[in-house]
Amino acid sequence: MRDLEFNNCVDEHADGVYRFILKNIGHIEDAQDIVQTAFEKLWINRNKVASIKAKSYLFTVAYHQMIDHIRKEKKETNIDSYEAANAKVIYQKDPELKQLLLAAINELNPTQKSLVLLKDYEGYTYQEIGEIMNLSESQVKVYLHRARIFLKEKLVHFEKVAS
Amino acid sequence: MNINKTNYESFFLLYIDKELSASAEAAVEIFVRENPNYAIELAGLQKAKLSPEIIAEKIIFNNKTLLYRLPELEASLPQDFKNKLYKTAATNQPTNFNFKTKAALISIAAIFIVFFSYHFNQSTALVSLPKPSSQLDKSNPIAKSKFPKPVKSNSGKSIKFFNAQAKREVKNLKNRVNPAKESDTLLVKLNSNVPINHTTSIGTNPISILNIVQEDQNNSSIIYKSAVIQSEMITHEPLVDAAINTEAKQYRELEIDESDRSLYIANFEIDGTAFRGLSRKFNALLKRNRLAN
Repeated sequence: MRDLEFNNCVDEHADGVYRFILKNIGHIEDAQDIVQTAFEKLWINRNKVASIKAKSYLFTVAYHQMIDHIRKEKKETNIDSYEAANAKVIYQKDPELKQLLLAAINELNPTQKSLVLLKDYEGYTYQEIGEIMNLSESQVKVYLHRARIFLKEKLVHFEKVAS
Repeated sequence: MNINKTNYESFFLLYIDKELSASAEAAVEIFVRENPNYAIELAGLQKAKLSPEIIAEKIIFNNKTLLYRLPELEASLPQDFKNKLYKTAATNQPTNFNFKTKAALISIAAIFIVFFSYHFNQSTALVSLPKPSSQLDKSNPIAKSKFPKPVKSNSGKSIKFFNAQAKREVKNLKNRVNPAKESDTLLVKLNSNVPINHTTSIGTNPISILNIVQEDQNNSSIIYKSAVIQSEMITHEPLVDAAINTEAKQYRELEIDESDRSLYIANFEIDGTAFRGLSRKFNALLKRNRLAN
């Protein structure tokens, strides 16, 4: 991979990686740091990574960086409780479907959240998601289906509450 | 493909994730059309998926300039130029000796100095011999051997260095001259009535002795009849033997007469005899250790 190809990768995939990370962790500066680290690693390994696989490589690196970041953060604050409290506030303020869904996604565990984001935002197949997240295809399928059912039930529940 | 009431949910999830084949998708759509009650289930799952409206939301990474790799940023100086810039700091770290190390070093140095000064004094006492005359070296080939320089008396009246030992050497010289030319050789007669004071033990060179005798002829303290010396005819070896014998006696005398063996290091006086004993014990100990190893 040469300079030009690498810069094309930045143009094409930086936003997607950033969005994926930002939706997961919800922190702009940390998300930017993780994206920067992912591209730094891509540059270091530019001779080993083919241009076609660059996007997958970036998401893989970014995902693992994010997992490390989440583990580190968990030691300091309980993210789940913080996000759950935030979600309740959002539900009360904005009962629209979009906000409800985003709030419900925030209640998912990090793996399910990443699965949903990679599937819905990036359109990856189960196999590709499995490669990025170091999971088997059947694991991706099971975890993702559980996440979907959880989200559906949440939405049904809030619709009933709203009505 | 058989979709029924027990496995429909799995098919629906695969359907919304677009993981089904075209034929399976068609089968799901037929199932939903035939069973409108399950259409609500499918709609509920589709709602749980992020809608295109949400996906369309623009989330942009604004700091892309941080990620770009520009050739200007990758420019580097040639290695030759870098080599000129490298600096190697001298690593002269001060040695920190503690008190024990300093004390050990000082004591070793003191022993070293005492030991060598003691042996130096001994060696200088043995080596302090008179040097041969440079004039004799040039004029007389015999003088090349280590003969002591003759000493003149300050008074000029009598020769005071001429002792019994010197007499014997002259006789020896007379006897050792080549017998074939004995008639032409040295004839020296000393007046026995004249008292001979020898205040020095130096002066054993027969040729030098004769020269001095010639100088003192007018005083008549020594009767000198005729002295014909043919230096070419005198062999070197007897003279050298006589000189070495004399020197050896002198060395012995010097060694015996050395009564004061004290060593002086600056203002400190060390008993030489006691130190000699110590040094011998130390050497014996070293030898024993060496043999043991």
